[in-house]
This record gives sequence, C-alpha cells and structure tokens, in this order.
Amino acid sequence: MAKRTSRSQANIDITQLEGFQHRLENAAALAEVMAEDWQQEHGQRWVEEMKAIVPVSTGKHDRRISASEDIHLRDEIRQVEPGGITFGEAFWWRFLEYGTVKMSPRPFIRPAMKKIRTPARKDAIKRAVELIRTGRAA
Amino acid sequence: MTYTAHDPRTFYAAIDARLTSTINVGGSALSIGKGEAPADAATRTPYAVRYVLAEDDDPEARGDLADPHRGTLFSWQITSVGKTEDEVLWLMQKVRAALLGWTPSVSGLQCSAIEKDGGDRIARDDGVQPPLFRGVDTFTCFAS
Repeated sequence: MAKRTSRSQANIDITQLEGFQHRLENAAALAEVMAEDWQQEHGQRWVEEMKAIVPVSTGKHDRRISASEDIHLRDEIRQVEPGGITFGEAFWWRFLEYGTVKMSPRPFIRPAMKKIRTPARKDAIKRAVELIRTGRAA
Repeated sequence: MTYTAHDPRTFYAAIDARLTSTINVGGSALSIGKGEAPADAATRTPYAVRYVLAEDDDPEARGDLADPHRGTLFSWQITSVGKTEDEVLWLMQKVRAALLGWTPSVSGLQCSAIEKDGGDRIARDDGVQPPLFRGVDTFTCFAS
C-alpha cells in the first residue's frame, strides 16, 4: 500500500506486502496436500457412484463374461491412490464399458464421472479460495 | 421459461450420412449398424456400429436461466469391427478422419466441431467364431 507523503513522493508500506507474500507461500505449501485430499475424497465418490450403477450378473452377457470367475466387478472397484482407480482382477470391465463385437456397451465409468464432476469442480474452487483467503486448507 | 427437447435422430442421421458418404469399403459405402451389427455383418468386414451414449445430463453446464436445456452434448461410440487388427486400424483411421473437426449441418441445431472423447484399445473378441477384432472411439459434439 502506498502512502502519499507529497505530490512527488510515495513510501511503500512493505509490511503489508510481506504479509501477503507469507500467505501466498503458505497457500503454495498447502496446495499439494489440499489437492491430494480433494482427489482422495472425490475419487472415493467416483468409486461409490460406479458401484451403484455397474451392471450386475443378471443378464446373459454378464454371465457369459464372468460366470467362470468367482469375482464380482462391483467388489473389485476401489481407489488405490488419490484419484487412482483399479478394477482388480475383473478384466472384463472394458467389455461392459465399451462392449464387444456382439454385446452393446453398458458404460458405468464415464456416467459415474459425469455425475461427480460438477460438484467436484465446485469443491475444488471453494477449497482453493479458502486456502488463499485464510492460508489454511478447508 | 423455455424447455428445449432436442431431436437426436436428425443429428445421428447426419453422422451416419457423413460416414457412409466418405468411407468406401471394397467399392461400396461403409456398412453401419445402429446400436447393433449391420444386417450384412456376417459377409462383409470391416463394418462399424454406432452406439448412442447418454447425453450430458448436467443442465447447469449446458443451459441458461431462460432455457436450462438449450444446449446438449451429444455423445456416441463408433465400434470398428474387422477380421484382422489391420482392418480395424484402417477403419478407425477413416472414421476419425471423417468426423474429427467436422461441423455437422443439422436443421434446427447449431453444432460445434466434433471432438474425440475417448476409446478403448483394439481387442480380439473370441466370443464370436471365427474371432473378430474390435476397436472403439467415442466422440462428442455440443449443439444448441
């Protein structure tokens, strides 16, 4: 902030600039942690949404793909790192998501992502603003 | 307040026409199935199957206060099927060349250029005999 002392001279109040600099430094130091928390939280929501809509073995196509395996895709969906999803041993996830030569796609990954992305985007903005405003992660 | 209900049939008719008019397989127009394999699939490869995926259901991102559903994001999948990996690679390239960056002209709609949204690797499908290969591309187009 500049204090006018005469028409031709201005002194800068350096303490306010230093304070702002410290807040930015704090925010930068916390940003990575905040981003990881955000990924973890919304990654888990993505998992839950996928589990809610993934086709289960009630149709002939599902039986054909998975009857020989004592594994259910729904149980295999999990988050292994913030935002990182695995389908474990259930290799047939891609046959459901994209279909096969004879089977129509029954997507569950992208629809689940579409459902969570707007709330996730809004939450990211809210957290970033809070971080810069207070210097603390929300 | 207005509520627009887009007619997806005219949009997808334009997509199908674009593919059949620009892709030639052995002297004939590309065979495209709509949601299922085309009728001549057993005798003619490569062929494509177009699946309509869910339209974007996020009105907040696609409309405005006067019409929450004014815009929509059409989303569809083209599955390219062939006897060999090479056939599928060839067809996928032709499909991408025909659609990417092209702006559909559809009565009553103002469309954006088509973009590729994702896809899946080419895989051999042993669920059919003899085995066939399939590759997947998904595309989107914003229209209002």
